[in-house]
Order: sequence, then C-alpha cells, then structure tokens
Amino acid sequence: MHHVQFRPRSGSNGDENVIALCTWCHLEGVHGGRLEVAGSVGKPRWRLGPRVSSRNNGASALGSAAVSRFRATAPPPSPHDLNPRSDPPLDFPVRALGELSPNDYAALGFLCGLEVHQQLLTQRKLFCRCPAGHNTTRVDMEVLRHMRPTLSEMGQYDGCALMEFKTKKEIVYLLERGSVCTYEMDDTPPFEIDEQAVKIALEVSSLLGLNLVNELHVMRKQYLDGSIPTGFQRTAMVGVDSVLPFPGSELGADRTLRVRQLTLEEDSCREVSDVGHRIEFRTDRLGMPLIETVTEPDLLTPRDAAAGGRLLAEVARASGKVRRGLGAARQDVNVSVAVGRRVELKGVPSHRLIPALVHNEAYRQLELLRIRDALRKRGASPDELSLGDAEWAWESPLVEILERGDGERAVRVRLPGFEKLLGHRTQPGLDFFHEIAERVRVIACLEPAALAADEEAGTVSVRGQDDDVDTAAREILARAREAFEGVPSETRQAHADGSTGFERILPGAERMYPDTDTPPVPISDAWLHEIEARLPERPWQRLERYQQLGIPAERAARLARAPWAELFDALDGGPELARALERALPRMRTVPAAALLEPLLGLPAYALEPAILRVLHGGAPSSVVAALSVDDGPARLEQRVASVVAARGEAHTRDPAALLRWAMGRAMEALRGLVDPRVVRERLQAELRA
Amino acid sequence: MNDERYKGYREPLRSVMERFGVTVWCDAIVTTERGRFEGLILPRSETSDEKHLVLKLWTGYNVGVRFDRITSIEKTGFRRAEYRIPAGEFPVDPDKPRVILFGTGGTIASRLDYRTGAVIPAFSPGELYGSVPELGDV
Repeated sequence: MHHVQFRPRSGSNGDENVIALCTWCHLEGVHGGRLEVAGSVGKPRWRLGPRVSSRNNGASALGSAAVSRFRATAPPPSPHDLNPRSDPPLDFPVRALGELSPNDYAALGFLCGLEVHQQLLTQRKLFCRCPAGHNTTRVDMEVLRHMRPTLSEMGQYDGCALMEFKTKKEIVYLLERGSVCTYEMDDTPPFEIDEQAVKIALEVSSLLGLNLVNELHVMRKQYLDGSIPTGFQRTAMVGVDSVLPFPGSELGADRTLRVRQLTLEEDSCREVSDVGHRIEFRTDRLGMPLIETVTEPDLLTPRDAAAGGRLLAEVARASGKVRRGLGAARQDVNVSVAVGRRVELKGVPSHRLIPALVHNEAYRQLELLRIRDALRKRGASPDELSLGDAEWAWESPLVEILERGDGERAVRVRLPGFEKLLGHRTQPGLDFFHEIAERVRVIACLEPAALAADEEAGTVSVRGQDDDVDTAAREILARAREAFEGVPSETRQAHADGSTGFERILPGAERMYPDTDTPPVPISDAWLHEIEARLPERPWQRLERYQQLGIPAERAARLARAPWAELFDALDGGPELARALERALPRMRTVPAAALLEPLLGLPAYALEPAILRVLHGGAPSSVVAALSVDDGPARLEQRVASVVAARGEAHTRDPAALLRWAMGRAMEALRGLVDPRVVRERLQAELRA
Repeated sequence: MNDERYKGYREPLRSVMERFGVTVWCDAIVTTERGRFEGLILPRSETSDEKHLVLKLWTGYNVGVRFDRITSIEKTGFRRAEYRIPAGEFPVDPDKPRVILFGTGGTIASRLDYRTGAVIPAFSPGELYGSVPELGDV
C-alpha cells in the first residue's frame, strides 16, 4: 500500500490516501523515483520516468544535448519510394480537379497506391482480453510518458523515429477501466494473438487471392508519435502479392489492381488534443485488431484512386466480419509524380475525399520540383544552409538574434537562394513558407503565429523558448536543404478541404524489429481448409452474377455495393426486384429481414416497390398483398382516367408534356401498385389528346 | 547442428536449404505453390519448430514459409547483418565522481539474439553508451 500524500507530509492512513501497488512498483518505482503518483485515489495521476523539476533546467531525461547526439541525417529514400520517371513535366499548366484527362495524369507521371486500414469484428483486442469496439469518453485515470527511439534489428535508427524524439513531447493517455488493461500500457507482456482476428485476416487474404505466409511473425513497428504507448505497433504479415480485377476503373473495365500485402495489426490511440509539447490520447480503440491492405502504385488518376479504395472495402466487407461506421475504415494514400517521391497522405476517412487530395498532392510535388529548378538555375547550394558545428543555432552566421529574454528569444534565419521563393504556391492558397511552418509546428512544437517570413529577402524569423527556437532554426534550414532534392519523403495529414499538412518523415524498414514477446504462430492446414470451404463470393464475381441476371450494368454495380445485396440474394430475385429495392430501401435506416418481403414476390413487377414501402411502414405482408391483388384493375383504371381528364383544367397548363406529368401524378395516387404505370400513361395520353 | 551457415535450422529444412544452395543471410526468392516471397534468410530461433524458413521481406516484415510448400529457392545475394550495438567511447569527466552502472535489461539497452530469439542486454560500457547516449549527461 502506498500513501499518495506521504505520511511525513501529514498524509492519512484512510482509504482516500492509500493506493495498492505491487512491491516493485511501490519500493523501486515510487520510492525509487521512477514513478510518481499524485491526485486523489479515485482519480490518480501516474507519471512514469525519472522525476524532473522543470523542463528547462537541463535535468530532463531528454535534454537537448542528448537530442543533438541523435541528429543523424535521414537515410536515403528506399528505391521503392522513387517515381520511376526522370523527366519532370515542369511546363505542365496548373489545372483544377476535373480539368485533367487520364492522359494528362499520365503526362504528369502520376502514380498512386493505397493502404487501407479496416477494423475487424472480433470480441476482443488483438493481444489482450479487453473488449474490442467499446467506445467511450469516460476517463478513470491518466498516464504520462516520454518516447525514445531504439535500434532496429539491423542496428539502424529510423529517421521518422528520430524526428518524433526531437519533438520532446509529453504524452498523456486517458484510460477507462472497461476498455484497457496493463497490456496496452506496456506493463504486461502480450497474450497470444487473438485467433478470431487471425482467421478473419486469413479469410480476407484468401478473398484477395494473396500468397499466404505459413507462419506469422509478430513484428514491432516503431511509432514514437505517442499514438501507441509501447512506442511500437505489433503487426504481422499475413499474405503477399495478388492481382484483382478492377471493373470500377475509369481507364476501362479490363484493368487490374495489384495488391502487395495484407498485415494484421493493432489499432492506435485516438488523439484528443495536441497543444505545444503536450499531446493527449484516448485508449479505448488502442489494440483493436485491424487489417492493412497495401496496393501497388497501379492507380493512375484521382478517380481511380477512389475506385480502388472502394474495391478493397468491398472485398473486406464480403467477409461480413469487419466493422462498419465512423473510423472503422481509413486509408493512407500514397502519391508521386515524375521525379517526385512517394508521399503518404494519412488517415483519409472517406473515399469521396481521395480525388481532391491526390490531385492537390500531385501539383504540390510538381511545384516543389519547380522550386528545385529555380534554385538550380540560381546556382544556389544546400551547403550554404548548414549550421556547421554550432552548439546553438544562433552561433551560426545564418541565424541573427533579434531579441533576447529570460530563456526566450527571437531569431531570423537567412536562407541564401530563397529570395522571392517562400511565396511560391504549393497547394491552393498555400505557399512554400507553409511547408516550413508546418515542419516547425510539428517538430519544434511552435504554432505558425511564432513564425514570420520575409518573402523578398528569403528569411524566416521565429520566436519562442530557447530550446524550441534552436530546434525550429535547424528544421527551417533542413526543410530548405530538402528543397534542392525536390520532394521530401514524408507523411502528410489529410484535411477535408483537400489540402494537406506535414505530419512526419516517411518511416523506412529500419523501424521494424521482431517482437520477442510473442512466438511465431504457425497457420494450421485445418484453419485454411475451414476458411476455403466457406469463402464468400468476391465482389467482381457478384457483379458478374448480377449482370447475368439481366440487371443493367450500373444498377448491378450499385446493388453489389448496397447493404441490401444479401437481402436481394436471399430473395433470389431478378431485375425487377433489384430496381424495387433500390427505389424503396435507401429511405430506410435498416434492411428488413428476407422473411418479411418474401410474400410480396408473387406480385406483378410494378407492384413490388409500393408493396415493399407499405411493409416497411408497418403493413402486414399478407394484408399488403391482399390490398394490391385486385381483380377490378381495368375498371378502376377507366374510372380514375375519366375523373383526371375531367379535372384537366386544374393543371393550369396547355403544354402537353406538363399536362401528362400532372395527370400521371393524379392518376397514380389511386392506382399505384394496382395498375402498370405504362398502361396508365398510354390511356391518359390517348384521352388527353382526344 | 552448430554450423553457423544454417544457424537454428534443423531437419527437414536444413536439407531443403542445402538442396537449393542457400544459407542464412542469403537474399533469396522462395517460390511456393501459390506465389513467391523475396527476402533475406534469417537465422531461426532454436526454440521454434523445425518446419519454417524465416525470411525478412524488403518491407521489414519477417515471415515463415513451411518446408513442404517450398518448390524452389533462388539465391540472389548475400548480406550478413549482425545486430550489434554501435559501441561508443564513454566520455570521462575527471571532475565527476566514479560511478558503477548496473544493467538491469530492458529493450532499449538490448540487442536481439537470433539463437534464442530473445533480447540480450548491452554489456560493455561502450555498448551501453552507444544505445543510451544520455548517460553522458549524468
């Protein structure tokens, strides 16, 4: 038992001051200075890591001297991240989305691939027994952590991990008892991987036709942005390499889409806020099983990129074992143009947003290449943008001190060669200075208001605390140096308006190392046979079957994606039912059970839609069928036609087409479901002409 | 058994590797009935089973391929990677008192041991400094 308020400081022995801890955590942790607990027993506030009195006294475990030792240059980009074309289309005109043809995108060297993340419908999280899909905003306690990079299995530091380390963030996790345990907080090793999740991942991999691995090896993928408390995500390769039919492509129905791989991994935290050096995360989603499907860069236009995302979503949903709804599926979109590099747009929540985002990214890369070209023509050099071995940025002649305060200062960073270039447009409404400001915001944790640019002179001034200003000056120069290469490899945050902002440096294979806590998991033949035996229909197979039923191609494509496709199959219907369901169901929140609609199938085609609507509005199927099965249809038709024709003066129009529309509306009010509308139209046409 | 070239591999995989002329640290294309895997052949932990070949794909992921699914292995290169902590020269400040460091493990100050699949702690002062350079600030 530990006294939250220590006894010598007059803490009581009562329940309100005593908290249970294991012996090690109590004696070595709290009293050994490795762990702190404050606040009340009901809502304790834990703090991991050595005690520090203040961030600026240099005693921090993450002091700036330590950071500087990690100031390695980012490794060169993987050849897989380079666009294969080497001729920059520098003269290509600026055009909006919708003004370019597929040939134009080909001229740009546009390439796009997707990484689709899809949560799986399991009972439990991937590596512990906590429930999956338990959304909550309740907070029972908070944990504070810092992150530090570690060497990969090959003895390398990852550039992305180093960048996150430089941000020196305080990371706070908001915990709710019902949705997390000590595993998520890295205080307990993982349990065995969830079998249900492995089976679903194998099923989706089989639907995709991937080459399955025979033994899963859980890897740790470093994530030092704090979104995973352990600092890494556990992830395992399930299958590689397949080719999918891609009937939704705008480049032709015979196109294909190659899938590179499918991995099974844990979901990360939800970010709540990110202000200055403090970032807060909710942990309810953390650890939920997720599959990530990665395509090759086969998507050649912005619209194809969205269509590719839809195709992969349909395959995953065909299993019936994935989560739906907000946040359950998200994609990272990879884009490059000729001479550009793969840039990853993170966490795009909807396929609808993809075309504008990737179009703008293609142009951002083109504009960065134009800036590179301008720098080269001026004879500028990245070597002039180096601080040398200055301990503090302002000891370099490139950085001029404008103002000094207590632990704070304002400086101006000179960027030789960038005169009149900081205002160069990179995205709609944004310029190259925005690229710099974003880097500083993310890495030095300084808001854009702390920065100002003199576009004419090519200088950037920045103010803030000494540590942050030092980091900022280095990042400003680093981003300027990268301009000489053109497009830096990075991941970017996607915004709903189609713009993007810097998120982090693109991580490489260096951030992967084996998880020593989990043994390899052999995939048994029995599991594979079980999965193969009940493998659902693939989306393109379903589409083909619908077309063979005589359903027109576009409606068949919509039906194959519709939530009522299963209902349609259960009712074993044809083109009329497909049409009726499409007209009746989108107005409803839920899809009815097949048994409810089954009695309606004997009705004539024109009666199906009104019958379905009546049943959905509470009508008993038997009475709906009785009401619509009348034998005096022709008599009712003649009577109604006569009364509508007699009232033709109420239409207030002499235009024959408008008059017919009015008359149809009037007549169908009484005849819907009872008489074929085509017959009604013919009779009205004949009578009105007379 | 202790042959470094087949580190951690026993029968039946050892024969498969010999048949196709590959050893650990070979870059290889492994073809199976359903497709192929391209990667670096890693040593296998002695505590794992004898049926799976471990490859590191270029994406950084490791995968296991079962011996009886392998139809061919083509060697494309060789690159021995040893997971070593880059040892640094521990800075000595004569004005500060001498201290004794106790290594108590932990992932940061550790390296991977392929023989057992476990991590083993950094032992020499240089290794410890190489993986935790903040120690120089103490």
